[in-house]
Formats: sequence, C-alpha cells, structure tokens
Amino acid sequence: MESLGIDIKLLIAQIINFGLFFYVFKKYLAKPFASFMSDEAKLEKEKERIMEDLKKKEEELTTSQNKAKNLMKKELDVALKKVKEDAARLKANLIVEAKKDSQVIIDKGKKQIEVERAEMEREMKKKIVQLTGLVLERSFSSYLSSDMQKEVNKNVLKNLPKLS
Amino acid sequence: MTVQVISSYKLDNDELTELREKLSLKEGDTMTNVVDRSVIAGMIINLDGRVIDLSFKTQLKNLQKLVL
Repeated sequence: MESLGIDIKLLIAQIINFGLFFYVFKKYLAKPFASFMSDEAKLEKEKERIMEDLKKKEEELTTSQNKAKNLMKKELDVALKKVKEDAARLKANLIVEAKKDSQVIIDKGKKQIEVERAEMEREMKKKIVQLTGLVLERSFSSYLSSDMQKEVNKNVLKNLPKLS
Repeated sequence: MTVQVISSYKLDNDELTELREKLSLKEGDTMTNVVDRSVIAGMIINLDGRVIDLSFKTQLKNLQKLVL
C-alpha cells in the first residue's frame, strides 16, 4: 500500500473524518435541508395550485362578466322595447286627445259662425224692414193726394168709437 | 180739457166738428189742429197727455215691428 502512495493512517483518518462528516451532515444538515427542500417543493406546489385557482377564478370572473353583460344587454333591450311601446301608446293617446280637442274647437267655431250668421240675418232683416218702411213712408207721402188723405181721415173718424 | 190734433193737412170744420163729437168735448174744451206732413195720413189725438195714435205713419211702424 505504501508503494502505491496510500497512507493507511491517513486513509483511516479520512474515512473516519468522512464518517464523522457524513454523520454530522446526516444528523444536522441533511434532514433540515431535506425538510427545507421538501418545504420548498410544497411551497412551489402550493404556489402552482394557487396560480391554478387564480386562473380558474379569473376565467370564472370573465365568464360571469360576460354573462352579466349579456343579461344587461337583454334587460336593456327589453326596457328599450317597453319604452318605445309606451312612447307609441302615449303618442297615439296624444293624437286622439288632440283630435278631440280640435273637434271641440271646430264645433265651437261652427256654433259661433251659426250664431253670428243668425245675428247678421236678423240685422239685415231689420235694416231691410227699416229701409222698406222708409221707402213706403216717402212713397205714400208723395202718392197720397189730399183727397186720398181726406178719405183716410173720414174712415178713421167713422171707426173712432165715441169716448165718454 | 185741451186737445191737440196732429194731421197731415188742415182739417176742415166738418171734420173738426165730427171729432169734437166723437171725443165728447164740451163747450169750454179747446181743440187745436197742428199740421205735420210726416203723419202721412190719419191723425194723432192728444187729450191732456193721453195719446190716441191713428196715423198712417204709426201703422207702418207697427207693420215693421210685426215683420221683425
């Protein structure tokens, strides 16, 4: 062995040293280290799981958001449709009311025209009668001679009852 | 009593006498005759405020009222 350059004592010392080192390492380093590595691995797994969860949740959130958007759109469409229907109904009612009101105004106007026409007719008749009366007065004034007037007076006196 | 007779021409005595008789006027009652051509024919007798309208003009006016 000495010819090979191997020192037995040194070898034994190294073996013992290695053994001691191994024992110390195994007892005081390996376990904690292993435990540390195992913890790290667990943490890593946990992180991955959490990431997976987050991803899932994100997807769920996106899906929910889309669903909510679609629902909102549907509701909005329904509300818009209702508003349009209400507006159309209101418009129709307003038109009916306006027609009624305008008919009332037209009827009033017709009545007014009728009243004014009757009044005008009355006035015209009055004027015609007055004018005719005037013409007759003038005509008779110039037509009735003295003899005719005497004749009229004769009849008046004849028909006049005796006053007591 | 005072009587006023409005006629379209001056009444003659016969007419005035007949009128006095019809109105039963007494001796002291006065009767005046006023000429107003607007009467046209007939007469208007005013007996102390009481008016008897027998004029042609009034008859025409009454006719107008009737028509109206």
